Amino acid sequence: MSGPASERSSSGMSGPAKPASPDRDPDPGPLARHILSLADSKRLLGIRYSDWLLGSPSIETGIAASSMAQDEWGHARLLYSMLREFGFDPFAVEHERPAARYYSACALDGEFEDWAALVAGVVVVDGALEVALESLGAGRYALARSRVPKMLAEEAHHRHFGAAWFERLGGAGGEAAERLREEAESMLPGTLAWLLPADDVYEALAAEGHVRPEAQVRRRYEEQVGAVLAAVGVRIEDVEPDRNGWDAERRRGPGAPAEEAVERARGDRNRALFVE
Amino acid sequence: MSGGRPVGAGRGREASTGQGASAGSAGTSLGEEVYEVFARKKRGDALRHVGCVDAPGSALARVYAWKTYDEENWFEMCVVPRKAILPAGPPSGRPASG
Repeated sequence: MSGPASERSSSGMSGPAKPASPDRDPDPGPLARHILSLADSKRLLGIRYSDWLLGSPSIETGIAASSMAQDEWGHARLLYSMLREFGFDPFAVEHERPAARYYSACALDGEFEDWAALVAGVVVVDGALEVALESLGAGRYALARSRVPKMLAEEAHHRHFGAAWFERLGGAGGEAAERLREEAESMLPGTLAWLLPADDVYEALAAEGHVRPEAQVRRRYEEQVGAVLAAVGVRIEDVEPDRNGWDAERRRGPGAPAEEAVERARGDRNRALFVE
Repeated sequence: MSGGRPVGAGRGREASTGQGASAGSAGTSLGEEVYEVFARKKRGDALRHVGCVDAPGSALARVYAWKTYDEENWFEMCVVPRKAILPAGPPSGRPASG
């Protein structure tokens, strides 16, 4: 607990008897929940990018996917480490939770089935993460204000990568454009719900100045990805968030990431080597 | 930001094992172009050639270059389509080396 007192008190989560991880705390506080949601999504997105290190359309694209995977894991690590300020153990958060306790966006539960799905994921999901991160970085949480700008600089490359590939596949027409449209339309409602949960947690965060109001975030997301998606006929302004089966505790839709992905995220195979 | 990432020098074209365009060609079998990559470490340094990438256009060429040649904390990096580079000599039209 090294953060300023104002940040600790705003979280309302200090105290000696806390569980190791916010997912085990009945009241971890809005900011810790939000940070965990961002961190878990980035951790899973890194896994999904890593699925395409080999087998992508060119060696350069595979290298870019590798680098983006590393970026996402770097960002996740920085976000998890913020939880220390709220009395949680980042090591336990990263390495000891089952899949059912992950707060990640639903679109990342399974693999990106083909290259079109990966490209749609970069635009829709990574784009939502960028906007959410930007919102947190512009808020009053000091650690986020200092750490997020570097992450956003890296995210800009992801956005350019996604937009260029989306334009390429969408411009090709035929099956490629159709797959892109299908994937984007499939990912958008759940991702919008993740970005704009319209819950008490988000209301509290916005009221405390930690994030931007949802209307602003939606507008920013539409600015960032709307024109890209329009290339295949997807009108983001017409898409409604899908909150069916919403899990209020994990702030996501029903289900959980695939166990195999979470085993990789936790580093189960290397557990004996952990030295942190 | 990504601690532990392997350095990029070994991932570029010059160290690659054959995927992509053949050296000396401005185009590839995938309809991509070869872009030469130049970078400088700090303001005032000369731009130096660091490698090349295949890309279907300038937008992806910029991303690929930045993500491939990331072993340094570059002050500036830019890409140039190989076909835009005009030979200036020797008078015979044949490079002395390379």
